[in-house]
Amino acid sequence: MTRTRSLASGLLTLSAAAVLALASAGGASAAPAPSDGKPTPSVASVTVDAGGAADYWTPERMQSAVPGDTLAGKALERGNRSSALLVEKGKPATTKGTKGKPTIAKSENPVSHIGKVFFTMGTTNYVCSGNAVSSDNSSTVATAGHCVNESGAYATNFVFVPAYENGAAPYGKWAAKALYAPTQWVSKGDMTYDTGFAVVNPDAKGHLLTDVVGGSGVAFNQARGLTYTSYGYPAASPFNGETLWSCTGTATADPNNPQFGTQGIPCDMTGGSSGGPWFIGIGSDGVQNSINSYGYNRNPVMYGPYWGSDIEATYANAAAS
Amino acid sequence: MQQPPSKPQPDDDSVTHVDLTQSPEEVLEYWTKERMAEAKPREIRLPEPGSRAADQD
Repeated sequence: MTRTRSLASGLLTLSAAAVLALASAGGASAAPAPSDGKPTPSVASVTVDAGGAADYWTPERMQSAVPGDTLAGKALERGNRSSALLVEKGKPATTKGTKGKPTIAKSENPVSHIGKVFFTMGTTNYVCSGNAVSSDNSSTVATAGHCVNESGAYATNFVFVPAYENGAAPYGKWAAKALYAPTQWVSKGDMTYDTGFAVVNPDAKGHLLTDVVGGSGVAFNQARGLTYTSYGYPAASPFNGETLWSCTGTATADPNNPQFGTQGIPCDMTGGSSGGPWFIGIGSDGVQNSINSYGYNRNPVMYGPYWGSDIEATYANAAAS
Repeated sequence: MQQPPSKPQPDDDSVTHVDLTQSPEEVLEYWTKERMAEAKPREIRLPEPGSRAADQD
């Protein structure tokens, strides 16, 4: 993107070495600035029409271009008149390299019990993230409340796709037969309780979900301020929803809405990661203790609900169904 | 394919649930590659610190 914009903007200033390469290849109308009797400058530059250069490089010309080491040989033939004594010395200087904007979230390989969930709210199809958890029915998936219920209306067409990656579903797709959410979320949309659970049907062969993909342990009423690793499939830019990502950090209270009782960790995962699991500690082997719930504009922190007694009751009802 | 779920049932005061009426085959058939690719990412992003209004998508 940057390169395209830069080329389209018209003019580029190139180093003397690059100009030499272009001019020798033929056709570029460029010449170093002439000396006017003043001391020889240490740097030469020229302005080149970048659009012309782009047009010049046809596939044929690129294929027949002479390797640059030939130019180096010619430069040596012109004479090597410098001496080490003449090399100008100055203060040590460095320029830092430039990288693309990094994300806080880290790319991950698929994890068998973490996946994407797809569902319909009203007439719109949505995608979130979820995690298979240990349960008596071996068929329970944890996700966000806002991924199972909106303003009292439950989702339809709910399906869990564990270990999704780039369209592949190595463990199949599991359709839900029941959805559970805390009453406080369903009736009031209270962010304190933004958690939901889906109970899925067996697969076509009669296998149960966690017998196939495994299931995370769950924990409730834990201490605050723990270190968590959260996972999800962020789909909004700069992510594309095709692979799993994670964030790790120590949880702190939401300073903007402390009444939610939620906790946040540094994380820039975007829409689509909602409902992804928070595991206590580092990695995906820990017990689940929250989900990706919400964030603020221009603030790379992901918040999750405190899993207390009401969410525990919701889990217990789903897991025993 | 857009079948309404059955009416939410209160489990106790703190929990509600719904039993979905769709068969697994119907649900799996619904999610074609195209529909999965076009599904909108769901998220709650609060517009400004201190605001309680949730921007849900």
